Amino acid sequence: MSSSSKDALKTFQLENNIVNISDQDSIFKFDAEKQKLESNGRPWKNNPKYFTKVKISAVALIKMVIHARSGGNVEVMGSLQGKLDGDTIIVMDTFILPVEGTETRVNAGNEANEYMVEFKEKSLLVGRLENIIGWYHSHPGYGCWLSGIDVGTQSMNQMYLDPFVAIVIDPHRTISAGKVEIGAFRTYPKDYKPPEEATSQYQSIPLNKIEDFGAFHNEYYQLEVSCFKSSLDDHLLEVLWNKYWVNTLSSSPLITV
Amino acid sequence: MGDSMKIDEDNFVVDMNLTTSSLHSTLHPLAIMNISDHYKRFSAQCGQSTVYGALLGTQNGHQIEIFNTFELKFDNQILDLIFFQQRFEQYKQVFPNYEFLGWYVTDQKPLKSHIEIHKQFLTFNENPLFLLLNPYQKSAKDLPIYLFESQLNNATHLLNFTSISFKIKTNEEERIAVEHVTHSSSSDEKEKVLTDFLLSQKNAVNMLSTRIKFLINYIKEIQKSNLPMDNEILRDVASLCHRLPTIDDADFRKELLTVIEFY
Ligand SMILES: [Zn+2]
Repeated sequence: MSSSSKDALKTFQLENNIVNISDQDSIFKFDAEKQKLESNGRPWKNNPKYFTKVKISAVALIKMVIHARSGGNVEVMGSLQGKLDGDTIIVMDTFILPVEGTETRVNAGNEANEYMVEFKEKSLLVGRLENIIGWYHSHPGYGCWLSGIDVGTQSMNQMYLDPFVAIVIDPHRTISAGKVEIGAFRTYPKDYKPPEEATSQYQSIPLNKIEDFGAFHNEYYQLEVSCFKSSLDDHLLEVLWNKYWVNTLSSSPLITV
Repeated sequence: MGDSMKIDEDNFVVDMNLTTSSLHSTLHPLAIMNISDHYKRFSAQCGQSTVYGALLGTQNGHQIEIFNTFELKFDNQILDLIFFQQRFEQYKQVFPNYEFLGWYVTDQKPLKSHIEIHKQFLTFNENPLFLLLNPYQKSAKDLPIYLFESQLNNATHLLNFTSISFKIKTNEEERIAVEHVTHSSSSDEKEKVLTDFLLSQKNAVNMLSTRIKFLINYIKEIQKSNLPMDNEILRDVASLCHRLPTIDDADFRKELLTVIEFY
């Protein structure tokens, strides 16, 4: 067999391997037909707690955490790109919005909205086919919950852009706890009285925020957050992880590959 | 770097014999995960295994740090310039410090066609890096990632790729996020998630324990004068000891011993 035909055979075999997408990796495929069915009849309109879970991809989670930390004490904000799977909102990716936040609030103005539309259009051209399915912002140091302003923003989003989810990340607590502090929320429709929940959220709220927390925490609910990754991600992370443990005994934050 | 790297000898695409690079390159896990995501998305969507993108980050003199990436559009190996420039502008708006550092491809080895693609980036960076991620390489020891710069071969007047080394670098929040996704299982069963997590913790503790035993033996040998004393190593050992938990009371000891027995 000549080397070129060997190459051709190899290419053929490799391409066929790829077509056999494992169950783990099928989540990375965007199925427009399925998405149409998921939205058919807008079932979330009839059930105030229709969505109960959020699944976040590895890249989306890492990007949000890095962005939240880069803001320091200032709130930052971005968009979520994703899709639906029954009661689950799947976040495939995120991108940063160019907004000026303060230490207590962040809001998207016209410029940010324009940016969002243009960024999403360009994403389509490189195979990121999912729609905008929510927003995220940071709460530097005061925990993951929705403030009065956040509840207002999210209610508007659910009125005009639904399905839409709000994610909050606390970069300071992420660092101090050594684990990602993240919450995902949806607001209840106006005039809806949620049943008394047996378990309230366990978290410490700074004194100056307690009033804001207490006044609105009946107007939204928290969704269960989990992460997913591909088989290739698994492999890459395993190698990285093995190298980190070698690194534990050296004082340098760098590892040679 | 990896022996598993297959060099395209016929085409002399990669010249390993040129002088070593003066560049000090570091690569962040986010960039790696982004390329992995790009590859997986295209292979799941349309069976396409070769994807291209841009490398973003900072360059200070010889220090290059690759933080992030974005996808590129190619049409018959020709870069879609307008898309590249518009997308770069979008990233520049939210990452004003980032520069265009080079490009990546997911493929099994460097090819002659990669040289042709590489040339198209020379107008945007006079020494662009070329990163290759081989999605088929499954060694548990080495990352399937290779970094190259291009050099003009004086004899042949052709552009060659030269393999250069790089290091992995993370910021604290990035490390925490990467650990979070590493331990999260694709399975929905909480039990499995917990088991995986505990298993990897156990493995990590075992490895740590092995290495500490090794260090203890090393120090014993020095005390017996079987090995020469190396102040630098001893200083490292001392600083390691300072990082160990400082709690030491009866309750803690009891808990600790229980845990050790459990393992
Ligand atoms: Zn907020």
